[in-house]
Amino acid sequence: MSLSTRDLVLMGLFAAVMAALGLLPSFVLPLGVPITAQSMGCMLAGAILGARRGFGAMLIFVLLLALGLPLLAGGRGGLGVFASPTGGFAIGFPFAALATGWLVARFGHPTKALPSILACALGGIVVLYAFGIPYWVAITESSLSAVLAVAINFLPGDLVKAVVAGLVAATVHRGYPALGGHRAR
Amino acid sequence: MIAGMHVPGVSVLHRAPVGLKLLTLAALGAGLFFVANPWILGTCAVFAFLAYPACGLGWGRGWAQIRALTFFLVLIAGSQAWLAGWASAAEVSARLLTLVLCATLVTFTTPLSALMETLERTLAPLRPLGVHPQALAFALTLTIRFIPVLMGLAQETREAMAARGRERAWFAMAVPLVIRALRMADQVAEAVEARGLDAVIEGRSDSHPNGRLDG
Repeated sequence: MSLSTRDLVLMGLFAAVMAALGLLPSFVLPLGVPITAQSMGCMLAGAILGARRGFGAMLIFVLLLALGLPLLAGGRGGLGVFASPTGGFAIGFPFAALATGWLVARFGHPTKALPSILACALGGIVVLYAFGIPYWVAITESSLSAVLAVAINFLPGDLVKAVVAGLVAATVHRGYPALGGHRAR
Repeated sequence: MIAGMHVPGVSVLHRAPVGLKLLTLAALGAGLFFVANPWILGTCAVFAFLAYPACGLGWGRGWAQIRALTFFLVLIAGSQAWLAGWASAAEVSARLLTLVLCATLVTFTTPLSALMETLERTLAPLRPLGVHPQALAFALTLTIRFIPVLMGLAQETREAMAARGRERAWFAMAVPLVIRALRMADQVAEAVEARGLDAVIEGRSDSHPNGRLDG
């Protein structure tokens, strides 16, 4: 299990993609819930780089957050992120990318849009929420139903992001076969 | 270039060793969950807030942390006060405020380079297990460098689309942008390999001359 220089550079690249997505302007839903493009970053990392490198890319991103770079949407960062109720989502990014990449490889058609979208939705939404929501419940000691009632507002936006990420990833795999996404990585 | 959150200063916290700050924060994080008295927790939160001006960070940065949590504090007050009473809502809110304020305090008073050094030193014993702190530090530095490069690449791609009269087709832009970024990454990887990753890492820091990537 060793990483080549290229793997390392690609991981750095997608950590940077994740950060750049946080710099895009976010729009706010009527209920005051911000929708950002950022969670698309972990779907893209997993679906384009594969499980192992996608996990590494997001691990780099999370480490940079912890080291004090304000890379989350809205300019948030630092150790405070992990103490706040949404810290579980940040911790979940590497695992969401891992799951997305594993599923893309498992479905076996990285160049096809539908399996990629499905992998992005399962990895980037289901797995990410599985980290984010229990953490939120634990930190705020709120009931699960209260947190779910808030989190559900993010779901439509996240579904749109999964469709976009899946389409982009599948098209990129067609246009750049050198990624080697056909093999499980 | 992306700037860290560190604010230079000369306060006690600025001068304290990084490891000590991190260990204290971890101990605080664990310890506060054993305190259930809302008055004690509230006092902790007030002290954490006052530590900002005391460390020369001004009042605004502390307020910004509280403002960022407003949504969650309202949510806690709403659900917790109704289900478990006001004392419980105050307890959870004060603990959350204290921890976020203290954690961000560490970030504000510690330079990125010092945290990176601590990370490398902490990971050094894991080297026999295949963890290479220098390779990690290289990837972290590379990412920081990649962010403005990516933004520039996005600008170029947008201009290329605009020249074809399609500046609003952002989805049509995403794929060529990712492919250009991948191509750039491959060039960077080739350049690093040509020099040898060891040489690149040593160029950054010469503390561990035998830091290798695949061993």
